[in-house]
Amino acid sequence: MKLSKLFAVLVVLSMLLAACGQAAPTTVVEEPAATDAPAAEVPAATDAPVTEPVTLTLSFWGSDLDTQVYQQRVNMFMEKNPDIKVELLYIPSDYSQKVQTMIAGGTAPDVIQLSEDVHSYSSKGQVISLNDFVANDSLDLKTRYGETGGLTTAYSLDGNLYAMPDRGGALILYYNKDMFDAAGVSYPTKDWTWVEFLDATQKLTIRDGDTVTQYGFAAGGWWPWWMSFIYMNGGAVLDASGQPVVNSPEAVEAIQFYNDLVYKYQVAPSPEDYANLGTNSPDPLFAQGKVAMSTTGFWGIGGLKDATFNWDIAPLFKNKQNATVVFGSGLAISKDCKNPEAAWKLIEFLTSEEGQAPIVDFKQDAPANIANLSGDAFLNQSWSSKPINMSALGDSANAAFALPLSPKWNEMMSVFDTNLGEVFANRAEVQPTMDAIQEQLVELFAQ
Amino acid sequence: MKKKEALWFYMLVFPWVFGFIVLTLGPMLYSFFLSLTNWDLFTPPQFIGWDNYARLFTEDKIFWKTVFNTLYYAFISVPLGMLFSLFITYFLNRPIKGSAIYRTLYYIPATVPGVASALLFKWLLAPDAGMINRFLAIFGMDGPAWLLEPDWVKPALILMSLWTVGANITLLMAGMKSIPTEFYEAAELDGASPIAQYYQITLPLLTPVIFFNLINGLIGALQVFTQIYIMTGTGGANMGGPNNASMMIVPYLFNNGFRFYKMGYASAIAWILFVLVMVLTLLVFRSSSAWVYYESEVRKS
Repeated sequence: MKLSKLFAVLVVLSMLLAACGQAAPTTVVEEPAATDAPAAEVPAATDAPVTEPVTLTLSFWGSDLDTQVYQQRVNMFMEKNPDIKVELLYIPSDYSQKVQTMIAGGTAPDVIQLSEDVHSYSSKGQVISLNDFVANDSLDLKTRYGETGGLTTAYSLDGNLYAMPDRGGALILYYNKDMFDAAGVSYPTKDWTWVEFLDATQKLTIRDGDTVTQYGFAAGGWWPWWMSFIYMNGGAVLDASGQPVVNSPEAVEAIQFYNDLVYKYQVAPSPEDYANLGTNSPDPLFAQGKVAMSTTGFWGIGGLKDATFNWDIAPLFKNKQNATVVFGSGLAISKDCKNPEAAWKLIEFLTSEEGQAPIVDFKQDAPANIANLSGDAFLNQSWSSKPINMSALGDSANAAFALPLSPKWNEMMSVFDTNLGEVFANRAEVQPTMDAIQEQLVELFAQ
Repeated sequence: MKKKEALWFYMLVFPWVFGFIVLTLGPMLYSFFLSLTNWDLFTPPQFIGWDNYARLFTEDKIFWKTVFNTLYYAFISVPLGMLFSLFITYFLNRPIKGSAIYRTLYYIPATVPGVASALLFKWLLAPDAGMINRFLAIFGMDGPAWLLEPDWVKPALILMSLWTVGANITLLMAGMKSIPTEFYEAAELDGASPIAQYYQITLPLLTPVIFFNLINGLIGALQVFTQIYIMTGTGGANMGGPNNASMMIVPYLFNNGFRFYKMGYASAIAWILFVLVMVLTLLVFRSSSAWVYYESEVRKS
């Protein structure tokens, strides 16, 4: 009895091991097959579009509103292309983990919404280059996304574009007009330098003894906040060849100034102040009327609909140059997609002026297409009783610096967060910290 | 008869054995294979021998920091939690009015989801506005910034771990109730004081429960994750701050596997954690003959 059971267990075990052993070789075999397959199947798909409709899946993250808008846009596409059926795959949380699992499990979505981690996928060959599609359609990316090409530079690796920018919008300056009026400070413009900015924050900060009751400015540890200061000062995170240049005098000076706002001039909240205020983010503090200026993306507007004070938005100020982060997300095609032609057709439509219109109509986000971003529908969007300077987003587009997106973006951010956290807590000096980050990034990129 | 009994035995253990082999042992063995590769989740794994382990042991400074942090957390929070729960159980077991209410109150925290209690403690531990530091301020003490200071983040997490000793208490209470009252009656006749009774009767007879709590607590503490994930971010998505002072083994494993796409490396970390848990558990088991007493056991002294 005992022996037979042991035998049975061993059989099960060996079967399992065999299954595991097989898993690896099959993926190896699939590799070349997968790259051959689309080429072989594409003509078949285009030959017989009427008989067998193509089904595409599109994965995205976000909220109910996002689902609504994507559905609307996809419906518009399906009306024009009855032979292509698009299924939405809404992943509300742990987006990248779930997409990774799907890819690893061989059930990757055909079209994938990606953002800063796009090159984690592209460098591992999981999404395909869009260059040929763009060339075949003779699509001018500058016409579509503005003179700088928007996020197309950031979404490219070694000359290959891997995602078409879909939603965008820059880091913009939100300011409380009532506070500016009360302090007698003129409203911010993109021509402000750090001198004018600092002067304004000092006038806008109100103290009651030792406690600050109103901050002139608020930012923190999130990368767009400090990174935009580095680029405003003429610094960079990575140089043109993709090598880290974090401890340049420009970058060090920028972080020093950024941190001085908190500890030297005391016009912005420290991490401790944030913890006491029960938040990590300046957005709620601005909405509560505790902060005169803060920077965030387009989404901040929605949170201010019910604000009882007067506010507006402006492009980010400058120091040596104007610089701002353009957020957003792009649409990429999975290497496992069986109908890349159809997938491209979908992406091309979604990023066209027509396909982007619902983004504006539903007030979902800032559209990536420059025609929509500078169109009347977007500029005249009404968010509060008073008109808002919506052109701030379009005006920022030309100041956007190419995000230093690398395949190791997440690891890079981890190095920054760990080290800069000590500076932002006033426990470390800027220069040695930036030297340490530089050293760690060089080591990371050499791996 | 015997054969029938044996059949029942195999039938009853089958679900567990099946589940273990298919759902646990299989993935475990596969993860060991992965730990010898550079798998990035997407491209096929390539065999690289012991490179991941070599890197972990010789080059990765953060990994050693996480091992230190995890042991620091486990070696303080577990014994402290056991003392604390023994102490509370002793009083909850006294015939006080409304003891049922107190028992419920002490158990409730154990039923609160980890994420909720982590968020709650994030507020309690706020530097000036938090209730803990406000309480200390009553006595003129200037509390630390807890989660924001490298020296205080681990004590803060240990403090939080004491909040959920309810589960331990339930087990200890059950253990205490099962001690026959005759023992105490006999001791009382012999003139033993309540303190002597506690140390000579209650504590020795509770050692099996304490032993169980110790093993479970140790394994749980070595795998701590939720609190770190929720409470120690530095504004960005990063966790384990400040300056990795609260980065533990499992969060570090998670980062490497799911954020940095180094599944092979993460698998190697998982195996080192497995060995660490095994060794520590074995040590506790080995030591148990010296301090764990079972009622039926007869010992030569």
